[in-house]
Amino acid sequence: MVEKNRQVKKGAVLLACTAMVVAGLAWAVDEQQVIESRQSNYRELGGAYKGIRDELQKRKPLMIMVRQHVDQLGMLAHSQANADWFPAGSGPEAGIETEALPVIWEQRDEFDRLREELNQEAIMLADVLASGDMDALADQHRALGMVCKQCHDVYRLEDD
Amino acid sequence: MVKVKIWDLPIRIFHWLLPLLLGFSWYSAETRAMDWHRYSGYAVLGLLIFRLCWGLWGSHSARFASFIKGPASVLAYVRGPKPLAPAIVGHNPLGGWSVAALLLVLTVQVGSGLFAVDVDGLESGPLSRLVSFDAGRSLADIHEVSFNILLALVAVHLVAILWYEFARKERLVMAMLHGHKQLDSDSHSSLPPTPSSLPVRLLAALGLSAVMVYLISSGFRF
Ligand code: HEC
Repeated sequence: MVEKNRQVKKGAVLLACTAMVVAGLAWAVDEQQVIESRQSNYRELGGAYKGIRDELQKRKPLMIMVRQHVDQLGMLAHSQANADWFPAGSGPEAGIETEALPVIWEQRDEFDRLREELNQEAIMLADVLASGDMDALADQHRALGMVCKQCHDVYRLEDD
Repeated sequence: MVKVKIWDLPIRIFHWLLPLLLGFSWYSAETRAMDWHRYSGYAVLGLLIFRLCWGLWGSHSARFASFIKGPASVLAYVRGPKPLAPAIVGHNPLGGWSVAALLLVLTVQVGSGLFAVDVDGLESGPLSRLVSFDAGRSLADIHEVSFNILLALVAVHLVAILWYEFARKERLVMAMLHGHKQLDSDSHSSLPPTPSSLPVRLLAALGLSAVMVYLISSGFRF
């Protein structure tokens, strides 16, 4: 009886340990996914932003391309503002390569305000595009870019 | 003693503008004055294209053919001069490769900068529209790494100059300023005379550099 109890206890401890390891791994995988997908989303955001600029620098911008990039930028900016790309625990403490600075979680309100600001600027960009005024589009494109920079200056680690 | 001319004026101007512009490029990048950084890069691009032209059809000591030597010459030079060997005018076999390495890394430096994109896409090189955002980011990383390699080569260059200056008593710095070198009268290999077509060659090199810088800096949009 005693012997059996001991075995049950051993089994329980083993099970608990395994569960903890599995949970830990799952958590790490989860963090990795969160961080890597937000980074790839940001790179796509960069691609859309650059795509608009490349067209605007042409003498005759291809409107179909401009529209496509503005749409994509709008989608990403919306997701960036409304989905949580930065859940607690997805900072440098996760041990995964990230340029997200801890200050994001310390000044969450200001960070969230910038996320929403980018979204608003992107909505405005789509409105300006609809108006067909290309000079205004270039101005709005630049204004939107300043929000990227404003956020990066404070919340993203500059690696050089 | 005889005074021989080793560095022509264009080479000396090229030489001294380079550290000035590299310093300014570094400073403007550090302070994020990216307009100035681009202008400075265009100036370095112009210098580089000029130097490549001058290496092909410039005066004798500027030509790659006169100073890029095979491994045997480099080894012989490193082992020490043969007695009675003529003094070297221009780059020695080892120094020639150091020049080649500097020019090569400088080409990578300027070339990567032309296509580089910064993280928020606000600043970029004039040719960045030809590459994707991700490629532009990678080239920005290369731009940074190659700058560090360039600094290392510059350090080697400076140490070598100091060594020649103090251990060998060769006044390399002054020679790069006034262009002349003092030699025992009969110990130097004779330099080919300066061709009379040099001004035309100079104009061709300057013109080609100017046109190339104009085309590249405007992103080939005309
Ligand atoms: C609300 C703040 C914020 C805004 C606005 C913002 N970013 Fe970022 N961005 C970040 C943070 C934080 C990171 C670092 C993410 C990481 O490494 O996990 C980042 C990273 C990036 C990266 C690097 C991704 C990688 O490969 O690691 C790119 C590219 C980027 N952002 C582009 C943009 C562009 C373009 C805009 C504007 C259209 C923009 N960002 C707007 C906060 C912001």
